[in-house]
Amino acid sequence: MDNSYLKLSDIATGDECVIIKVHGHGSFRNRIVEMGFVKGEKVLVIKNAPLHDPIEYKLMDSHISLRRSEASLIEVVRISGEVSGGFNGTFTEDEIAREVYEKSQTINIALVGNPNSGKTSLFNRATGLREKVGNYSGVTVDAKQGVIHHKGYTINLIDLPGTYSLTEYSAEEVYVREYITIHHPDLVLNVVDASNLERNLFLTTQLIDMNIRVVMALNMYDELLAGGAELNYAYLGQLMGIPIIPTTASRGIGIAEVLDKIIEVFEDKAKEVRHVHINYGQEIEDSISRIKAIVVSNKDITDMYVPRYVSIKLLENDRIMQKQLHSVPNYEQIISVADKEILQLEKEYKEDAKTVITNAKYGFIRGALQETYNPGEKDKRQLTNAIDALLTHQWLGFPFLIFFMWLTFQVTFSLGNYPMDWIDMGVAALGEWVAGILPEGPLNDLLVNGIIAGVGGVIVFLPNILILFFFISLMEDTGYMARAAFIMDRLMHKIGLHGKSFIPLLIGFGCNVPAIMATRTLESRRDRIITMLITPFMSCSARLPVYILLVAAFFSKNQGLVLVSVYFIGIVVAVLTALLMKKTLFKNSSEPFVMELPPYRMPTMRNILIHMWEKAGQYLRKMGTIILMASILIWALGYFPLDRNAEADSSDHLEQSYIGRMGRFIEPGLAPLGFDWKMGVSIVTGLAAKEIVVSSMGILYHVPDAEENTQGLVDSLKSQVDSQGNHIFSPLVAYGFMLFILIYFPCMAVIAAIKKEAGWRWALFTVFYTTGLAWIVSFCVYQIGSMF
Amino acid sequence: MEQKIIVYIIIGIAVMGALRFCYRKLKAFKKNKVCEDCRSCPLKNKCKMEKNNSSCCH
Repeated sequence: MDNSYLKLSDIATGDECVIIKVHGHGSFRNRIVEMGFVKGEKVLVIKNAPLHDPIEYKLMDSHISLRRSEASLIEVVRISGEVSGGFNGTFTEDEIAREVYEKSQTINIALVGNPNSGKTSLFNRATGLREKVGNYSGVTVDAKQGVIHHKGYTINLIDLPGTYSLTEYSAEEVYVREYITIHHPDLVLNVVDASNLERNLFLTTQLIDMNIRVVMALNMYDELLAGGAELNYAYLGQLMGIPIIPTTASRGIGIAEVLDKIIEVFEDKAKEVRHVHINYGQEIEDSISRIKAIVVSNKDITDMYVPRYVSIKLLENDRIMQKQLHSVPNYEQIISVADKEILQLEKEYKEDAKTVITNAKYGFIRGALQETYNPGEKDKRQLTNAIDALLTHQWLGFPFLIFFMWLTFQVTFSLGNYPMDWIDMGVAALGEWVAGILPEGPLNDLLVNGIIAGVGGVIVFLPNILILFFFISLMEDTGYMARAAFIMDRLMHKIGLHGKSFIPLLIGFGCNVPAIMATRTLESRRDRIITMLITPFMSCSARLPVYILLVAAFFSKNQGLVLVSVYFIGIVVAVLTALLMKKTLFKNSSEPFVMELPPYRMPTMRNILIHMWEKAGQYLRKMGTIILMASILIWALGYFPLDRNAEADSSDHLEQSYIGRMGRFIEPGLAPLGFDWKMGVSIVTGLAAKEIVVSSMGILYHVPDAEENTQGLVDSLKSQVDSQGNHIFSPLVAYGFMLFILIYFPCMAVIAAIKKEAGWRWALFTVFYTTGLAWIVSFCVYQIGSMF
Repeated sequence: MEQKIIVYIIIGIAVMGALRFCYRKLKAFKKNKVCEDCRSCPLKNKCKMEKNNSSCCH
């Protein structure tokens, strides 16, 4: 996410600019502001030193030299020289004043907090955006930006992935930490789960160490009150030097107050804000002081971080901080002093230094809570524990999980059938009407047999997709998703994976692309790669229309079970692939299972409806773009070249068309699987997006007979015969085809996501592995099935 | 004849659309972007104006 600002160090020699903001903190900020680098002042770049550092500036009629690293912390707007948009000249005073006003009225806020603390709910409520939320850890895997206009200010809110701390354990921790130190947000909005204060405040203590401006949103405050607890949050804020605002983000309570407080803090008017030093105890404080004494001489580092924070990180043996210090002149001396202090602390406390500091932080938190918090009598997790006693029971857990999955697919199929039939009738009626009003000819054919058959063939499955997403949302919002991961951990461990891998896999039932991105929540690269490679076997919603079509046509009994079996085979293939990977490419042991089980929460209808609405929008957008285009092109390839001796809509003509020739070309490769050339063409067109498989089938199998012009696709498939008069489709062929669609090349978007997350090599591996495996599985099903 | 002309125009538009689709996908692929990046991009509605500054839309 590009949130960078124009830095004073970026201004060329001879150009002039106006100061907007001074980033950084502590002594650096004070020194620079005292020198006159304040909002609205004009600065002229005089010259760069021979080695491009330092740079000489003219400010208030005096010449000041700043190092490039210092100048990079000053945000400016250019008022002369070449600016974006090609303008090369000078701005008027009015224009400068307006530009400076607009820029200085912008506040950049980073949302930081524990996973599942409600950051994205707050972000959505504040910005009006609809980012995905769920009652489990790791829903947000990337930074998202939203803009709010509040009381004359433009607030850029950046939603960051959830993190328990700012150490270096996981990718999110490093990401959030780097975001704060590199992008220098004006303020951090720390979202804290009020129902889990002690653990959430650990991250707050790390923000306090960083000495940055923080406002705390005490989220889910209603749950704290409902649990009978009491919290003097104003006093807690005083103790921590941070303003605290209670919120219930899911219902929009407290958001306006948070925004007011942000502006107050930004304008340096908030009385609660004060810099607090967490007292780590005499020994640790002495060690911090000794390291600080030698760190403080390195301006490049202290301009970016407060020396106390650097010293604490060095005591924690933080490799990222060590790496950042690598270029400073007295690096060896710093490390040697830090090592000496670590040894001394470890000798004193009989524990490693990191644990000693963590214990001291928790000591501070407990002390602060003792003064301000009364947990009340009620057991907050009473209901959660009662539900968990059943849903995560040693013996009942699995049957419940299987039951919920079966229920999801059964309802998706049976309930979805009604609206599906209505839409199908509507599409058929539209086809008939269009065929009736237009004279015979290519346009009539294109509209009826191309666009309406192709797009209409796919659009009928919209209700099924929505029902599937209703159930997925329900599982995500109640907190059952995390339980599913808990139940599956043992099995996942057996195949060399972490229980957490189950969450991306479950998300994969909706769409594989966010599932691939959700693998970022896994700490080990090995787990991430294996999970990414098996995610395409989780049958995404785009493949559902193919199954529903074929199940409805060829499996009149046990439709729900047949559907579940396809999904189940996907899981089995994923398990076998993971085992294969574990035995061959990734032989290391897996990470320990550490995952939070959030309390069960009542899902809000608003969230579920938003989720379904977004999915419906995406599905319909696909109909109007790629599927419409594909339908027209497939029809055109099936219509041309025109054979004067054959009827345009006859089977003979289709076989002689461009698409028929293409199909015939690939047919030998698919014949051992029992597939005809039309199925082959549908498979090829499905490479772009899986919905096109049904749209292609809708066009290729929609060869109207003389008596009935608008035969449904289901009936059309049943009546397909080859040149010898044998039925092309049988339940065996249909099942093999469903498995091929399940396993082969996922879609271009998924391959792009794998390439992005794991690189070219794994993307190419996925292409060949999935397609090869699909062929083998379908071959086995057809050949073995034909023996009976 | 009229029907033929309209059909050719529609096919032409579809071909152009398909080429544009492939071009954008390849460009995104080269830039290491996936559709999710764009879907959640706050600048998606004003990308045409700000595409040079936007890192999420392509």
